[in-house]
Amino acid sequence: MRSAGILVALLCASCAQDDKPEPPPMAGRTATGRTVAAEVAWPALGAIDRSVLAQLSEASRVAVAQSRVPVLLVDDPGLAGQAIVMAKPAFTAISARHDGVTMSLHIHRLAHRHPDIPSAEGDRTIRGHRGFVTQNEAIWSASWHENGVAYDLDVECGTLPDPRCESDGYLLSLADSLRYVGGKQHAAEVLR
Amino acid sequence: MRRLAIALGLALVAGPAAAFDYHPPGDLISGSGQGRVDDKVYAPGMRFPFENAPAFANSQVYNPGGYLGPGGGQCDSFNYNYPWRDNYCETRQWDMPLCPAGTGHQGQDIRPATCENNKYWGVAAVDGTITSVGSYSVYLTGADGTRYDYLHMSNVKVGVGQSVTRGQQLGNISNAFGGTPTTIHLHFNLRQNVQGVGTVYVPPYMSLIQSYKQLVDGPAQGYLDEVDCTVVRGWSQDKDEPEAHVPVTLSFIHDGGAHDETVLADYYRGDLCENLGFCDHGFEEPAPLSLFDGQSYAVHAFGGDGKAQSELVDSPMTMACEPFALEGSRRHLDEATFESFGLSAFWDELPVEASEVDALAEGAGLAGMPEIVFDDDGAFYLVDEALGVLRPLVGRAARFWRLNLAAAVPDDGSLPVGADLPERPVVVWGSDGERYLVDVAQPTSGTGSGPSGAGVGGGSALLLPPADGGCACLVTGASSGAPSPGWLLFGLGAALWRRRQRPRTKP
Repeated sequence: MRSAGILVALLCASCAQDDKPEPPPMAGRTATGRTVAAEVAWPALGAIDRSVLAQLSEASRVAVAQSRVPVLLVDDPGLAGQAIVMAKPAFTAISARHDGVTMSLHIHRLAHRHPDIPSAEGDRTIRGHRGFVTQNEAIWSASWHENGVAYDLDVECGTLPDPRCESDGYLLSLADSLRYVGGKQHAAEVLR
Repeated sequence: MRRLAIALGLALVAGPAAAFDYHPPGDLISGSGQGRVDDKVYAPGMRFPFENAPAFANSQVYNPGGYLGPGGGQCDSFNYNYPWRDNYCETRQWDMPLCPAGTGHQGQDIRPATCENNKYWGVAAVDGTITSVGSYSVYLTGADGTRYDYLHMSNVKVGVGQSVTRGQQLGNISNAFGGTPTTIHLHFNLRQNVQGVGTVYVPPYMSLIQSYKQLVDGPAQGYLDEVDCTVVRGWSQDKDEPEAHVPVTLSFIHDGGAHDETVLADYYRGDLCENLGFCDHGFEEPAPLSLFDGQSYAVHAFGGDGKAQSELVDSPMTMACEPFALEGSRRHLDEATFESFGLSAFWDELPVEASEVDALAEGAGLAGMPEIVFDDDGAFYLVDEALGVLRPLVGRAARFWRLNLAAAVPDDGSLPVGADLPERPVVVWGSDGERYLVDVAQPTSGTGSGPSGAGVGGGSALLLPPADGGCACLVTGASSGAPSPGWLLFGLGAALWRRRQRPRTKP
């Protein structure tokens, strides 16, 4: 049985002096060391599209203001008006469901290191950037890099067949309609 | 039709006679395309996305019942037996940069235990956020940004923006597919932003195998090493999957009532390396503050998933902790900040009288999300925007605050270094019905030190709950580097500490 005195000493000494973390940095219940944070290239303040931003709910505008990555939002009143923005330390996600379509945009601040996967560049052009377009169980998806971070946009139709999900045309038109609405760098402007 | 009925009957009543087995990754059905030979586990530590075993990973297109299959129906017993078969990269016309052909199937198809629609639950593979719910899809995104896609779901019981915990029911495995039924299965994707490539679907097969083995294999081994008013600590490992991170269910029992929490035994412990062959199988959680009520709790620890759980050696232990006196300041915590910091009512909320909380001086509220930076020496800091300082993360602060150091960015030098972040979060409720974080005393004005001398750029204070010896453990003083009386006893204490940390690997 431990003596109370030793435990007191142990804890208090540990309180005061245990300032050397164990070898690899760990993060609570999340293993680390496999990811790298991106260097964000923030758009200029003037790039914020206030008319698109205004379509978001107050809660979603707060989330935009907290986002560590530049948030893009579709210039589609139906979808933008339904959008839910979720800002997390490693990513920001936006999801909206309107008129039989579910749109989701994930913006990644972290990249996963897989050294055995060689670098590759998509053969499609999305918003002027090289990227990938694919379809997954009738869900269309586009991914690309912009502003120093990775974006991926998904479109799912609620009832099939739906002309919007029969080709990548609708997906790419939504991607083209994305407008910068802010992020932590421009929090004051977002919340103004 | 008769054949279908017979097959359906077989599938409904016959479980797999053999033990779990699987074809190697990349070994697709002949003629169904070229698989990716890749034995990497892209989502280590994830839970198998079905609530229960058995489940059967195989093709929906080239197996019985598939439109390019050998005939028969989807309920053919062939589909409901081992071995599993990879169908990532199975022939499709859509771009897939990680597939040898450059095109292919993005994920893995998995059938539930029997050929019954809407009967079996899909569950969260990790703690995370539901980032999209479509008409037949559920996307769950983990803290590291990995997205876990569940397709062909119905009766979905989670919503967009909801936080979920590993193993939580999400919805039923079904044949939903935009109004046109498909076979009864889960299409499961892993989507990651891969450095140098971008956001792509990565192979899920080995992650599924590893997590499935944890569900069906023999129980995990391990020890509950320590339970006191500071920490709940131990380790666990699956002998059959020695690299895999094992979930550990901690059960706190008092007077017939139990509260369970699942944590992952995934943190590095140097003392485990030699004995286990792997180092990152420890778990160490702060003692749950919500149980600091003077009552005695039996703390049980079980390693493994689902029915393959086993109680760890030396479990249960007993925990009995009194609430401790608050010192320092209180900082308002709104709901969004509580959530974004990943704080927990169970782990982090101390039951104290609101009048005690009210008596603390109120400092600047904590707001926003945790942002971590690191300096040239590799030291990590929490950016405390409200105070305009960097808070050094010392001791177990990063782990006890559940901070994601992987998301840290280089410090730009714009903020001074302030007091150390308390080693663990302590959350309390005031009489105004609001939550507060108990922090070190803060300066009353923009410059200079506060009453305790622990202001901006000043000393440090580490607030720890009292151990069973009654240690007040509010150590206020100079930052690390200055000798303190604690060193006199530190050698003895550290030696005992290391001794206690030595893993015991006896069966």
